[in-house]
Amino acid sequence: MTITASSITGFDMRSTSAIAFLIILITLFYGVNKVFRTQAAVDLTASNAYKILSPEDKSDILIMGSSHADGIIANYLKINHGLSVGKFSIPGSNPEYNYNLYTKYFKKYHENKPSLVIYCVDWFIFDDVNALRRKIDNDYSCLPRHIYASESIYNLKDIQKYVSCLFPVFRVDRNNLSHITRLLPNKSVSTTPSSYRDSEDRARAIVGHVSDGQFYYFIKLLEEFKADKIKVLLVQTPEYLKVKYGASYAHNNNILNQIADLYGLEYLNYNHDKASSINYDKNNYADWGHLNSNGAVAFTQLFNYDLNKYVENTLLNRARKDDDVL
Amino acid sequence: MAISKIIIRLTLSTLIFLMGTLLFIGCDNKPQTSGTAHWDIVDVLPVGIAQPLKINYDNKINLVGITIIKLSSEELMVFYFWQPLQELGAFDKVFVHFTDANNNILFQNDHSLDPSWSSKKSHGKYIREMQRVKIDKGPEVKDCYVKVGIFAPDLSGWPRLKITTSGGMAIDESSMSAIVDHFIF
Repeated sequence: MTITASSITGFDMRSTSAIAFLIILITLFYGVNKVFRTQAAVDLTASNAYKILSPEDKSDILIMGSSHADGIIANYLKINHGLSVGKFSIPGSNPEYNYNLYTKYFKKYHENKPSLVIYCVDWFIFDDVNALRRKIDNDYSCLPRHIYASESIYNLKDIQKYVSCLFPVFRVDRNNLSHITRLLPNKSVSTTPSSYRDSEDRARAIVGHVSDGQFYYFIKLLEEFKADKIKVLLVQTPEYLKVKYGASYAHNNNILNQIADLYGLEYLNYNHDKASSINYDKNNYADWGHLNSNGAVAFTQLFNYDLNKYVENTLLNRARKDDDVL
Repeated sequence: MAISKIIIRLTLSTLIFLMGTLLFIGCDNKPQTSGTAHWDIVDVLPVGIAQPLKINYDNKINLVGITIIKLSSEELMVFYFWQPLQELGAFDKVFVHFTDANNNILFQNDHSLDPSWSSKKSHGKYIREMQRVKIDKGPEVKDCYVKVGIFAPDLSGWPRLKITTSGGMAIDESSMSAIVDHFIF
């Protein structure tokens, strides 16, 4: 066999261009996937929250809920009796998400059981259509590595989900293209009617749908906490109250009040009976429902006082019960 | 040259195949569950039931609790807690009548019991079931009573299961339904 100069050159050219093409393709894929991971899933926040699953965490009090829970700065809380506070709140998480998070991972991997869960309830907590749409299947990549490895190996029926969550570029939710529009230069472009980029009044009017599924999971979660002998404190963090509410606001708050009564839970509603000057100063807010850092600092100070009062009362009641037993 | 071509083609097709597979398995556009009924089977009776009960229907199924949450003046969310004991056979439907003090039906939540509850593996376990109930008539009435019984819609005359024990709850004359709860509008 004779090898000519032209055939060598041809081979080199073609193989070099094919390899270059492959490299470009893989780099492009990696880059786009990376962008989607940060844009679509708010992975960083979730990954940080998932760190609480590590065995080293010994939090006595756990804060759960959606992005509104960010109004409480856990590190700023100073709780009597040396009780420590950990945060396990994920933006956009609904009761179904939190139920799965607690039963599938927290109970299984977190060695220390908290004595109190502060559940930050939004008045639109049951709305998985317009507001809290996050799905736990999309967040498996946020799990600490040892849990991810163990779950994907021993949970073979869900292996597809565990693998595919590493590639959010393929997980395009056709009903929600906000993560794509967010990449566009014009930030006001919106494809979803529920977008928070709509006027604030309109945004509040849209959210509030009561989904049966979310309602069911919320009750299941409360029953789970009760069965595990974990006290639950429901908290509604402050919203900017100088904006109009939709009809569902009063309706949903009434449901939350009933649930709190039914399950004997203390409910601190900082938009109603515990509203303060924080609710009326726009400088405290990033948008109608989310406190900014100024607001969060102010609210955490206020909440710190109420939480300590709650802890003291709970301990007092427990001591009284112990005395009765004796 | 031929080998390198084959390797490149194989790599490319594998890559395309992998991307295609991931696209197929990765797309999750299913809406979240928002149907009318939700239920699950649990080994231990859930805690926090508003109205614990011990109603036994012909040793086939127990109603062990009910929780009613008023969503609005037009809707209720009702949680039923069941314990299947035997095959239910044709008795696969529950009638739930919301009545006034004079036993007039105001609205109802008759519904089927899931066939899987009859299977042996469910026997002795607990079923938590949630139903959203539309209130057709009510606000003008003050008191509302909830009556529950089990019947066979496919048998002639729609026979009902007899209540063996009611755990202290009032039952009708023929022992076919029990008043399991009472609330005020």
